[in-house]
Amino acid sequence: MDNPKASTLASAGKFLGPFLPAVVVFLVAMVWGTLASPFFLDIPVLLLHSGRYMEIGLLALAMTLVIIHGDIDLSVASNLAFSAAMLGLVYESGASIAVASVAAIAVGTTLGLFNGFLVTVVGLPSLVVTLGTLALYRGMAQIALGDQAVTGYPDGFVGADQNLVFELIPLPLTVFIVMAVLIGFLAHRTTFGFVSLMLGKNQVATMFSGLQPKMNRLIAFALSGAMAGFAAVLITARLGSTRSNLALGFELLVVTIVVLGGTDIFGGKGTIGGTVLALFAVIAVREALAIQNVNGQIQDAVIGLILVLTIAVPVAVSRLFGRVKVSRRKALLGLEKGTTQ
Amino acid sequence: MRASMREGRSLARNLARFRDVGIGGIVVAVAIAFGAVNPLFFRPENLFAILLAVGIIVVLAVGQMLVIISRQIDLSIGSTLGVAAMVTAMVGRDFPDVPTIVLVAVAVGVGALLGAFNGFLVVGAKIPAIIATLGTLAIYRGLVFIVSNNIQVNPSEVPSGVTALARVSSVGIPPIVLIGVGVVLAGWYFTRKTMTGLRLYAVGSNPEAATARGLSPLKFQFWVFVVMGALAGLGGLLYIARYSTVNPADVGSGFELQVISAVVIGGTNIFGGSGSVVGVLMGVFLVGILANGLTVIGVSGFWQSAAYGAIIIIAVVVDTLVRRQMSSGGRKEKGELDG
Amino acid sequence: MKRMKLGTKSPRSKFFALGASALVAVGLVGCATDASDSTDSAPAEPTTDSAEVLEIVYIPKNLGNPYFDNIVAGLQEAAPELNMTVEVVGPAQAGATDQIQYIDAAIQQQVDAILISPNDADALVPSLKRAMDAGIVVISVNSDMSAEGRDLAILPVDFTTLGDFLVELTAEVTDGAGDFAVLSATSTAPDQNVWIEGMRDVLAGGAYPDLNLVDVVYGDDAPDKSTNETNALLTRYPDLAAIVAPTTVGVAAAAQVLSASPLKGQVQVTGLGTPNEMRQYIKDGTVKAVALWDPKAQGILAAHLAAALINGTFTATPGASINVPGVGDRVVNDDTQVITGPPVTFTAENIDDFDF
Repeated sequence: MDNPKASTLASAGKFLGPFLPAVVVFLVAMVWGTLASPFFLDIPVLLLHSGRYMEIGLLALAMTLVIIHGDIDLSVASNLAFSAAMLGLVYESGASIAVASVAAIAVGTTLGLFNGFLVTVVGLPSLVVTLGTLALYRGMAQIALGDQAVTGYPDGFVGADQNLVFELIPLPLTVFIVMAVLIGFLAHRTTFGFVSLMLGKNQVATMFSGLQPKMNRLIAFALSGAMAGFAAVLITARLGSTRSNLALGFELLVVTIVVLGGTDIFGGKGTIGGTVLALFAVIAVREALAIQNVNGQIQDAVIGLILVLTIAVPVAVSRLFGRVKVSRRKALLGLEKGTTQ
Repeated sequence: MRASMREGRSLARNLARFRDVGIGGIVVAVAIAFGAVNPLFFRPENLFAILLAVGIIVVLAVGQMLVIISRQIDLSIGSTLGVAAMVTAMVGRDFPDVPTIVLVAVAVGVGALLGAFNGFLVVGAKIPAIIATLGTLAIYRGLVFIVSNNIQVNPSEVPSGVTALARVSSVGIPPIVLIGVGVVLAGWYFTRKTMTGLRLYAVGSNPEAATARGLSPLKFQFWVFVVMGALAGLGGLLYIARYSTVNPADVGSGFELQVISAVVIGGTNIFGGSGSVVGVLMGVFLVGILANGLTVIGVSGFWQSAAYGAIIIIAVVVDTLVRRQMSSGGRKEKGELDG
Repeated sequence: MKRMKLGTKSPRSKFFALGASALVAVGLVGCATDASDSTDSAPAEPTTDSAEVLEIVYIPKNLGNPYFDNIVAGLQEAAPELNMTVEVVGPAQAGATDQIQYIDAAIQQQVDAILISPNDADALVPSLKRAMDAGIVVISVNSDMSAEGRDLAILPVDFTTLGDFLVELTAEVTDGAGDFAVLSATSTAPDQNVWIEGMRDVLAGGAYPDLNLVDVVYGDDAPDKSTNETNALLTRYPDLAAIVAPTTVGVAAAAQVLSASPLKGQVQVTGLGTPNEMRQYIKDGTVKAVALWDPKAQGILAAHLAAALINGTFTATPGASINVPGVGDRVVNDDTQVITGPPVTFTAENIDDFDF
């Protein structure tokens, strides 16, 4: 472990290390936005806008757990779309919005369990499986809705994302914070989270440790699906309409956020706190760009650039300082996990 | 010890061949099924269309196969194709007298450069390939926009030398198909007949052992991205030939899923170390025939995405189960522990 | 100097690294923003005191589409005399939810009007309502949406008669007889769906007894999908006389397929396409005639209507009329829409007269 003579600065650095990229990006974006436009630094408005990203945030929370234990779930956005489609159809058939929302979450969880089943019971690699279910679930959403949209949701439900809790915090943000705390607790204070971490670090050892890792993986995928269903409810309340092309392409941004937050894509390392910080960093960047009327393609490119720089620059600099992280090189050669990438 | 090594090798080879034949059989079966539902599926014009689509995808798929064999993945191929196509189209538009061969060089060169940047990120900056190419997927798409100033290139601005690639030539077969065949043959030769190709498999299946034997996995990992980029660039040229309109928002989008599906269906192990060009070619055919056939028999477009997904899952399930049966005593692949 | 254990990073190098990365990121964002700013904002200079400058934002379906670029050209042409600045922002893909962040940004910047070509008839309504509540004029340009989401809609042509026009165009290129199929955009596209309905009504009315609509397929405004669908049509219907694509991406894709096919000339291609995109195919004989309208006129009209609504000299009620220099008199119809003008047909004779 650490040299006991290393100063608190070093241990603080080690603790803060994974969070630093997200924090720095957040601060830089906020400063940049403020300098660029007098309209930017309007906290209530920014908080309100952040409500748009909370669905992605929820997906990212669950994705963090999945990635920590060494898997990945690319199907989350398609899962969201199909769950939303089910929400819409159930509601249209006469059920109350509450019942329809519960249905959405149930459907999402089921789809997540299907992923988990293929990965744990059949033993397929999660990258490929969720690539398949990405297409499959989206297709199911398209079959279910065709070219129609479901509208006509109740007035109190639609626009609920504009409601403020304690007169200050928008409802989606509040929901997200609550979820983040819950999942953070799950990840860092329970056996479940501990087993996930161990699975990510060393799958073989964990399998023989008697800790039930199979169930662990299954639950993580189910949770990812449940989050997708829950996010479906949120997005329906925000948009007031349901179409099969909802959340198209979200999965990439979700993975970007998780990695930006310091979670290792190969598993074994990661925090919910990092994911939360990374989410706000990305929100800040997008808002700063949007206020300057930067268009979508460039915004995506900037996020991509930040993703790359976040990992590249510390490595480059620590090479300059002559210390190359041993685990990085091992990861590069795929020695750690026997996984690809 | 030698005998068992030979045994292991021939077992693996038998497995691979069995699988390739299996996929080939599925392709034929699917084609016959489509033809049975609607015999018009076999009309020459339709088969021609399938070949054109396959020609472009196979070029990309061979590259992706090499990347995956080396234990990596490249998510940015669509965007790379886009940049290469856009730059080439713009050169063709602004310098109409430039010979076609120069345009080919431009496309391949731009693609190779972008591939080299990917390689640099992975090997030099030590970013895991999936993350690096996730980033460049977005960065390169932004590059398309910047390079083109958001102006699309129209069919009348594309040099006829390029569009001729998609037409039936004096040889009777459109050059796109010939180029696709050429890439497949080159890929096959490289992976089966050259030392470098065999070493690529070694590096991908066991980097430690490869390093112990004096190979440099990092070098392979870098160059495989360059090759992928060059092939994506070539794909960009073929894209211009086929579609003529090069629009900054559309060009190259959506190829990733088709290509990775084809590669996976073709039996390439996502964990690296194995994969065959023949299998990939079969996979590309399956993807191409599916896309075409579903439309021809009138299956509403809404079912296509679901069909894709189902096929990918089925292919991987079958692959895994067969692999388990065939490999000695049901020993499982790395990473597939059902713990 | 303390030696750090292998495997840990010096916190100092981390800070340094992140500072450096932040600077680089900022620098690159700066470059990127400059690149996009120079293409997005209008060079129009307001002619009077800046306090009176009208700020409008236009959000097209997506960027990089020459059709919408022409609308922008119209807006920018009209802007200087109206004392107006035009910002153009848009998503990379034609998705509804992608447009929302630009609506929000526009509200934040307290613009005077939002002009939008909506990707979805309903999903944008909550955000646009917020804009209207904030006193911003909202105009739907080029297609309509749910009426509660906008003050006014400007349509390029009369949607209710376009179906008629398209059938007439089809009859023209097929000499009045044969089977034809429609290659549309996305299945959810409100404009195309209205036109196709119109086509079906005209055919049902019996005015063209020898014309027969056999199928409607969707190319999603994507070149590869449109190409795929075209091939499928040619395969499924050996007796097809024409493919009619009321969308510029679709008609270009269909023309591309036919121009390389032995069926060229036997299967006609027509629909709605821009002259620049279709010139190649008209010249090589694949397409006899294709139609569109002048999107630029729509842009000019939109600019004037926006200015009039902002300044209060015009209210968007049925029957209200306005005169727009360069375009003429226009009246708001019962659906609070303003029609720009009639469609224009492009053939080999006049194709070179246009540049858009």
